[in-house]
Amino acid sequence: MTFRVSEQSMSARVLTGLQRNQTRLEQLREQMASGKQISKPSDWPTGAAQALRLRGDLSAKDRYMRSATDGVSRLETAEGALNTASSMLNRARDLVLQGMSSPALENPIAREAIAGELAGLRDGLLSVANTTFLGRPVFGGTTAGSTAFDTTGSYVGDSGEVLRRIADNVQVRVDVPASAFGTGANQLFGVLDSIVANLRGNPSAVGSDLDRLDLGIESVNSALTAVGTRYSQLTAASDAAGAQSVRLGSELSELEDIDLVKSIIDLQSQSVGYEAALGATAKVTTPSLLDFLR
Amino acid sequence: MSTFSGLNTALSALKAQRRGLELTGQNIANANTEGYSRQRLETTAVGGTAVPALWATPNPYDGGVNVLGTVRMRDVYLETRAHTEHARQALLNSRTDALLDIESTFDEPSDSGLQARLGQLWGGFTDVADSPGDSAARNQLLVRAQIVATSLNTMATGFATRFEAQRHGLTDTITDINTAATKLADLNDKVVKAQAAGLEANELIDQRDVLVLRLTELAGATTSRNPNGSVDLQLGGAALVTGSTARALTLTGSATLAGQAGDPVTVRFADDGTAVPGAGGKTGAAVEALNVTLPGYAAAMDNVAAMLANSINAVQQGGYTTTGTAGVPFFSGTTAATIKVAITNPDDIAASSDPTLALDGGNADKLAELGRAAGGVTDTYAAVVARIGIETNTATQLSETQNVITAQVDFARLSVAGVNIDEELTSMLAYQRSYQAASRVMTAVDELLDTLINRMVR
Repeated sequence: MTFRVSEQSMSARVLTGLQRNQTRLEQLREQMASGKQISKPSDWPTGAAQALRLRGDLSAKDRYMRSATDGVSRLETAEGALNTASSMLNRARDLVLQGMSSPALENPIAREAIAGELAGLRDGLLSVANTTFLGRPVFGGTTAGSTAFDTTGSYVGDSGEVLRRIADNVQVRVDVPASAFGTGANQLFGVLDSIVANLRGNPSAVGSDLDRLDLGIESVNSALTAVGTRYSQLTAASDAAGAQSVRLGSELSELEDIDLVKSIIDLQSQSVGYEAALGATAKVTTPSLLDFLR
Repeated sequence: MSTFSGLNTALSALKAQRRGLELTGQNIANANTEGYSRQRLETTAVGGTAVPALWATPNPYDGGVNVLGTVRMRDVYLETRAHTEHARQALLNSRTDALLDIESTFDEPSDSGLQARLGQLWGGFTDVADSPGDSAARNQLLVRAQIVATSLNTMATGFATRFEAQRHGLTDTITDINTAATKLADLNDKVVKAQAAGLEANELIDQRDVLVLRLTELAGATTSRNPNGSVDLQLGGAALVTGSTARALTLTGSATLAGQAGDPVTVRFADDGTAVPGAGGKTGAAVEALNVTLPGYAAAMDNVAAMLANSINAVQQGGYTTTGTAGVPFFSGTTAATIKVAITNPDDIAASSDPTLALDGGNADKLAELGRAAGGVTDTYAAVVARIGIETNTATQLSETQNVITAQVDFARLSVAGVNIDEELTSMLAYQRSYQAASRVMTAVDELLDTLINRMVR
């Protein structure tokens, strides 16, 4: 347009250039200081939106992991209790068989001793069935009470299920229903009570009790299997959530964080550029005709 | 040819060179004055016949130099472009500033923004779902819900205070416009009178140009030049300054963000109360921020707050507390400014999905899952953040581009109008030498006359 250069136009142009240099330098310094390339949404709108979604996903995964870990501990408690119950019941079965056969069958004192031990086992089983996790009975559903079974062996819990969400659409049951200890006539405490009474008074009826005891043992064992299955489901989900969490974390870091090496190089070259611009400005603006007039 | 015409010729040269030297001094003195246009001496040689006509006899011996006047070196096309570009730059820069300011209310993406707070709230619901009987989990949930509500309240307050600050700023801008318009009218008057009296008005015109540029930046005014030398100013076609009269502007409309919807902020002419049809520049950006941008984001955050309150309340009311009673609303208020946690007793959190199951966590799980719902609160909020991000980013880029364009126009404008010291020094040398030469001529003529008068008559 025009080739004339005036003092003001030159200083305006030099200033604009230096200012632009300095702004860019300041941006890089800010990125280096914060370690983030997205410190506000306008730095990179799509990246910021993605970062928000990733952060949301991350916090959800963390929740699922916490729930799964909590569920695993709960199931471990239940599993331990069921294992103890199972071995107690095996011992009870041995005792019942002993009491049903000679010589104990003909000896009321021996039967009384066996009945006494069985009564002890029954009480032991009751306390196992009242095992608690964080103050809540693991076999009592969602009951607010501290026990699942009262001293007579009848169920005082409720029918609620304790669920843990381990993924967006997956919930896993982490309690064991009271039916693990048999239901109705086959409920183990009733069966054991009946065995104790029959051993003392009516040994011939013990045979049918034994059948019911076997059914009870079966239900404890099947509950154990079910717990095992859910346990592995929970640990698998927890592992998966952990792995996803790590992946999401690294994705987020890739989005939000600066590439340190690149940033340092950028900063270096930008400062060199700025210094060069300053140097050139100092050289260019000093001389004028005044320097050469006598 | 008169005896002394040589002296007169030399005298006119001395006068002209001195005038030129003074002008050079003036140019150098104002090398850094904003809006100053360099001036150049216009001279013409005396001699010959001014109007050739029959019987006119040219006098070949009369001579000298005649100073026609001084000329401002200025390109009207570039000036007009500068007005347009400066108005646009002021608009875009102010818009960017307003958006950056709004953006700073969204502390995202970070570990302390609303999104992180919401994440903690959903986590709190999960904890209650996992241990409904644990009062610590319930208390923690209430605290987290209060933090979310407070974050929303803080954002609403942020919008309200930004509105007020922006409006105060606009009031100041209007005052500036009124002052500048009055001064412009005054200068118009002086320029017209000076020119009518045949006086030099270059410095006044320079001052006036500075004011015009300032008014285009402040209000996006357009200019038109009159034959008598005055400049008229229009805002969207309505006259702001006509010759030596200026109209005052005034600001009407709500002073608070809450009242804005019913009473939008409007810039009006003070005399007849009509709205200014199209204010640009800084004023335009401020009006846009007050009537569109701020209310828009405030409404968006109100929507987020309403969605949060309504969705959580709906699920909460479908559940049951530890005592088996139906849940009462969790949040009260449905705007970002008014939302707060309505329940104070942690046992009132309706975690159970069944009135008979005291410590069921089914409903708390449903509440926690609201955080994952597609199109739910989290998504809606993320969309608002994305919107401010994109708008701010676009505005920043536009204003960066505009800054480059404006700088180029300014450069071209200053190239024509600005003072170049080297050039001035050169013309200074030229005037100096010419002055010396003219005085030599005068001495020579003097000696000539001396010879003629003193030596011939003995």
